[in-house]
Amino acid sequence: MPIVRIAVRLIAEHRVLFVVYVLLFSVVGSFAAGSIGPMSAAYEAVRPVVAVVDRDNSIISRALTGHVAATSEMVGIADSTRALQEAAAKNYADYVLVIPSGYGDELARAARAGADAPDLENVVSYTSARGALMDERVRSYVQELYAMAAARPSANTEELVRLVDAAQEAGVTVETVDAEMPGLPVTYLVYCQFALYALFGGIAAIVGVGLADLRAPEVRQRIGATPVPSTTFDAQIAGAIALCGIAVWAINAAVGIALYADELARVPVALTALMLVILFALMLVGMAFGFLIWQLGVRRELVHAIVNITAMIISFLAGTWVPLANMSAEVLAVARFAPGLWAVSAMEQLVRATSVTSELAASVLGNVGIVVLFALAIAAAGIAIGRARQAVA
Amino acid sequence: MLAQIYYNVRMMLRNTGIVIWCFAFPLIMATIFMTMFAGMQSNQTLHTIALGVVEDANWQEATGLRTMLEELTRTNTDATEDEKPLLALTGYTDRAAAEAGVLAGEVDTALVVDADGAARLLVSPSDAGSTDQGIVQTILDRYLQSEELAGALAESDPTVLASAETRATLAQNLSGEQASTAELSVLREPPSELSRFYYALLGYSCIMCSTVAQTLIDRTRIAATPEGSRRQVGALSPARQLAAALVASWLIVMASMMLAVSFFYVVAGVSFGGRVWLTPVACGACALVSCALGAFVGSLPGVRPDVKDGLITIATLTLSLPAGLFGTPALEVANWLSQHAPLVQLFNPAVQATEAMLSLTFYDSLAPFASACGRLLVIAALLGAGALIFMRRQRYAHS
Repeated sequence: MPIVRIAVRLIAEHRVLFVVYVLLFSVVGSFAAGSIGPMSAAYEAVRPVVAVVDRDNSIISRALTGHVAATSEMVGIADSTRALQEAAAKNYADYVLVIPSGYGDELARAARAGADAPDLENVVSYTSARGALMDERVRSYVQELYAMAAARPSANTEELVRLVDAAQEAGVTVETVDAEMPGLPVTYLVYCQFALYALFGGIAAIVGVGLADLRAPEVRQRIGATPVPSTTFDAQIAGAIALCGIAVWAINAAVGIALYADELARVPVALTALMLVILFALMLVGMAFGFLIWQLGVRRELVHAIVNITAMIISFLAGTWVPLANMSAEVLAVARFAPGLWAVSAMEQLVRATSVTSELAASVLGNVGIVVLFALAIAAAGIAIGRARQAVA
Repeated sequence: MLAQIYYNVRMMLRNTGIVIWCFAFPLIMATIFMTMFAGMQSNQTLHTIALGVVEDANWQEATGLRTMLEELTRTNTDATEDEKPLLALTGYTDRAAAEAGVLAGEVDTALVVDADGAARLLVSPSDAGSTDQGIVQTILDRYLQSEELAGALAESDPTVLASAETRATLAQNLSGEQASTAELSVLREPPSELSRFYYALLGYSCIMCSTVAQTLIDRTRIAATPEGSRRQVGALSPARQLAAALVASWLIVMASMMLAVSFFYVVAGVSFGGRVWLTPVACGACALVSCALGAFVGSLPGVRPDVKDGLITIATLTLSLPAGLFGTPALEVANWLSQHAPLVQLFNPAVQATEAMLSLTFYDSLAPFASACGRLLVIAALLGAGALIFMRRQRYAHS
């Protein structure tokens, strides 16, 4: 076991890498999860971020602003071209509504004459359907005003607004279906998706950099002269890599459980345990990749480059950065040949889970099996390369 | 000195790490962005929402509601080819089946019509409050409110809806689109999340490349590296060696950024708002920041070279994050910081590099672009001044 001990000591000397790859990326993951905000099981209609620029300031425009404010989170945007441009370019709001001056009067006049009302102006965010939802709400409200103004040409504006506002009370009832148990919180899912980077890239980087010294020709020659068979040497290195992987997995898992302890306490322990199993399988892939990097004998300064670029591609293909739903069919087809997709879809099952059933466990463990097969394939490639190199040497 | 610059450049271009990180990495990332986002551009238009429906006797009786929803499952006849219908209906035999479908995530939400004609939406607790559910809710609300309004009108003034003709007009008006909205185009070209990722990549390059200046400057300084000590006894004065190192690193960083810009422009189709000829100005300023940052990190007293490498890597990661490099959540962090802590963003070179490109592309006026470049120069000056202070102190310590 002396080589394991040396290897572990070498890895332990690269504590900085644990901080950078494991802790930093875990924190980035929780940061990303934090942007989603707390989840509540009760239904609440989505409230897009909206800004209203009211150039009209009439009864109708104020009523419309009030209606928008009731169903959204309002942010202030100055009425200048520059402010509107910045809001649109940087996506400060899902929806910016500009009410042109004289709109209220024009709407009522058009309705009475049976003509088309002037258009309200908007800037719809390009990132999600929330802007489109808000547009639907705005158009629905002004169309109701239009229909009322057309039906009651003699009524004054206040009365029309009152009628329409009273009708807003009507609406469909939304019920949350009772699930036997809540699934894992989405925030924890995001954290675990980000863990992919630490588990895959982190282990490989730590192993690649930490164990590089053991590949130095002088060290290899000296070890070669000892009565340690090369298979034992490789096995001991693999053991050290495994210890390193388990350490990374444990750190990441502990940080995750500590960060989301409150939310996870409300969820069956089995779900969290299954999530840890998925992460463990991903760790095996990272371990296998680390072993491959070690067998390839990648130069120390190149390890970071290779590891980070590969980890980025892998986490991209897992839908960590951009949801898989937004990717094209071709990319999804490619993603099937990477471990991330399988792990993340198993994670999503745990989030949607309503009860711990044997089908759920079987389906999650099935995906875990696929991930483990990826690990085996990579490890086998590592062993093959090692053998080929030995034959050449 | 020219020879020094030439050899400095050659030395750096033979360094595999530098070639990968400063030249290849931005191109690899840009290629990833291109393929990953190929299907994402259409995200702003609505996609089809899966709506479950309990197809019982009550549903068959709710003719108005059913017709309205079925209408929404068809595309407009004059629609362009890639336009999708708003809804896709999935039928369930009873409420229990619909609930199971909602829980399993088969549909975004499911509709149940009660015996008294009241509509209910069922949502799953793990997915309550999604945008798609909001859209379905708004559509149903509008339908129910129309009924409510027609009722209120008839109640308050029965004469208004006395004739069939006025009733038809009202129904038409309530479901019509006479009062509508039009999208304003305030930007020089339509925004996309994608271009921000590309620009954040330039911000990343700017900081990552500071490793070039750091390496080159360390090789001119006595006691920092063995080469440095050797060079200091050479004929060329230390000041000129430092100048040669700085010029060489500026050239390399500039080349790296311009390579990235041309790749974005030619291969990825980023238009830079038709002002690609101004990008060298921003890249030049970024390259200066990069050199100054490298000099600053290199001059930190008592820090080992591998720790300096680590510092630059950490700086690259932490400064690129608020520029929005790592996906949509990072963009949200960037926006939050811009709105709530603008000072932090002001002194982040990666953010300012992104800002410069963003202003160039989207804003009419060139003033925001000029001020972003100005801020980059100020950051470079501050870092350069810091480097100078540390280098002087070290020189005194050795004399």
